Amino acid sequence: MIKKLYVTIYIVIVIAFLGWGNKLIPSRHEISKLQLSKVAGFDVTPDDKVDFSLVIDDTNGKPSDSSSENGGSNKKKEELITINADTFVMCFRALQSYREKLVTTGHIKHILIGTEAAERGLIEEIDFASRNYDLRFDTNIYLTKDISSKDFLLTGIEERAAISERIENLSTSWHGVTNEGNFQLVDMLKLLTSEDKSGLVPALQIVDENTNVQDWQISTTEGESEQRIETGGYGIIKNAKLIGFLNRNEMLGYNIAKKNFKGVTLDIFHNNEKLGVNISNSKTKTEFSFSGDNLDSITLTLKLNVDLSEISSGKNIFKKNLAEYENEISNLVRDYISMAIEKSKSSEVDFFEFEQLLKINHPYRYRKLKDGLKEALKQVPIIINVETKLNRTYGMLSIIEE
Amino acid sequence: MEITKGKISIRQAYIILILALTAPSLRVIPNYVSRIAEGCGWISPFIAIIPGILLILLLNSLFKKNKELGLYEVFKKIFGSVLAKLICVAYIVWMLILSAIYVRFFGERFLGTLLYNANMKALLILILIFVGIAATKKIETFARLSEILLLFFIVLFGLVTFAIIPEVKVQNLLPVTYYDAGKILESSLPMIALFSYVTPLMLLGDKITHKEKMLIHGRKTVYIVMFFFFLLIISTVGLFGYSVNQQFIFPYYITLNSIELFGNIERMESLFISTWVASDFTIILMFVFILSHTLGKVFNVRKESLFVVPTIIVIYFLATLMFRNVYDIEMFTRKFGIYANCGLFVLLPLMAFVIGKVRKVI
Repeated sequence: MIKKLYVTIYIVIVIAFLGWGNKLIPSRHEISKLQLSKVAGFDVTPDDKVDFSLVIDDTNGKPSDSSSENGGSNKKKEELITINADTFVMCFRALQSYREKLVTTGHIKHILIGTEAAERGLIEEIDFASRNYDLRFDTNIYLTKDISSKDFLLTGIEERAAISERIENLSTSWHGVTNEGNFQLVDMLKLLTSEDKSGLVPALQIVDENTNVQDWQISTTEGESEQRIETGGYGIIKNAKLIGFLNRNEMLGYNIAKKNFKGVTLDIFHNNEKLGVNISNSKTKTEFSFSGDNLDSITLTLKLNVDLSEISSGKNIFKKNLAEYENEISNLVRDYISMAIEKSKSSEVDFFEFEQLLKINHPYRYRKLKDGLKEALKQVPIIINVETKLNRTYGMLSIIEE
Repeated sequence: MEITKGKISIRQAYIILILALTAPSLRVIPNYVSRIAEGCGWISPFIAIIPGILLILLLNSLFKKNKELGLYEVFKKIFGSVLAKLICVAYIVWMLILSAIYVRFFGERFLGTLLYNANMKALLILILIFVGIAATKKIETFARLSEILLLFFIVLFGLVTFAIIPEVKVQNLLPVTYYDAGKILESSLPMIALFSYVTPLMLLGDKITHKEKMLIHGRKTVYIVMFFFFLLIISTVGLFGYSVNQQFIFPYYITLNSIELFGNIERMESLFISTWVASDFTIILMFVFILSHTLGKVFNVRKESLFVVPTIIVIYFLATLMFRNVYDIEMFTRKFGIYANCGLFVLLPLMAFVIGKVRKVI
């Protein structure tokens, strides 16, 4: 009986390996024959085709051939391949015939979508990415502000740091204007499967000396400040299409109000003193006021915990009227949030999720208001109260003795 | 518990049931609940506890005076020989279709998750060969194997849930109002439909001992299964919201795909899918055991193992020919399967109970 069992199992295994060969057992590849990639870009072209760009490590250091988009320098660490075809699937197919190594997309960590592609609609890109076996649902998604993802990547791979590492740094450790959690493929799916297919998607942008979007300039020992990649706020998505971007201040307002940050650094100017402060925590309470069954107003109450990182005068501000400084910070944050709310109203995209909050907190009122809610949210006054608490000085009171 | 040769205890039977239910519930529950009840579907398992316990009470009543018999013999006492045979033929046909669905889904899941370019027919033949080998062995061996596999499943599912719970967003599960009562009730239907597999399991009743503990262990089983459904909904709908879960045939796979343990360990889905396969194996094997046993009863053949190979061949052809793709199976399950389960495995025993009480045979 036991012998019979062993014979049967043996026959099954023989059938499995020989009968169906590679059809059943996944084909095995040597690691040295695989080409990994961490960043991909999706674009559309004017002739209604798509561009699929992939940044791969040029580990062999060989000059690129004519198919490469990046010229022939043999110093570069990364190479950009862009394929133009009718569909992204065809691009993937073409990709495998270009390299001598098997290009695997299972390690793609960041997907960039060009502005033009996003303006036409994100359905095609996200549908492909979600159906693709290799791409994972925790892959980060970014829009590339005012540029195609291909051009963005071309600029990016000329930077000294690998582009995937640079994006990684921007999304995880660059405090101030980044969002805390990454926006992943599954978040994008949630946005596109929501009722109005609207929301915000983080954006990256190319910054050069002509682009005055930051409060700083960088010079390096290796020459003039070149083009570099930075966070580019958020792209506003409405009906699955990109309709605009939040600028830096609006993004700050949105991130602070939604507690979507690890830490926000702000410069405060008060009585000829410069203060460098860091918002370490915030708490937002949203209250809805009604008159009868009508939405009367929305009140946002924010409580900020702020750390004092730098005082230009070197004086102990805790001996002064601290409320003045706290008010200054509160006013600045209130302005930022007001800007973001105005953008939300003008773009008719409820990215502060007032509708969702109303639905959760006042489900019965929500049912009554539901039909005219979009219009009501455009009209309703939104009151913003910000309370700031300056509470940390990193163990130091003052340099100048008072 | 005392071990009897060729028989399993009621506790072991319930363990087989729990493990067998994991495979279909991972597929059906998140998607169906998201579609019907949206964010408030997590309440449905609590509602489904009531019909679950009622079904156990019902079966307990049917077997109260018939502890040594199987469901076929009980039906025979209540409906008479011809009608009992007809009912069992209906059960056989439906269980063949169910087995075909689970075999096909076993293949589809592999194709959709790990082995993208594999030959599906080869996968189906492989699992059916192993099921065939196992089905000719003793049922006690199957019961003991299920006990071990269930332990593995609990550990892995617990690990996944542990990793997911901190990421769950409460707003994905709210609001819940009395307006949602209808939706919550409706979304508890697939839970009852799945749990109703306890009825065909009782066709093996003459191989199940300690039926006097049917109610005690049955109640525990209902609680365990419904708690599992609850955690399943929390870790899918709670994580990504109902709208994402509505779009996928295997919503739980997205959850597995997104797990990161301690910030470092990821890509754990292969580990879980291998356990998922064990659950597939259990449910297919459970049905093949029941089918060969019931066929033996209907055709008065003592050697049940004679029916294993023909059953498996029929299941293979049904699995490959009945459905064009996974969408067909999904539609079949949603529009017909759930209701057929409830009709055959819940309403029919209820009818038997009523008639049996009237005729005073139970």
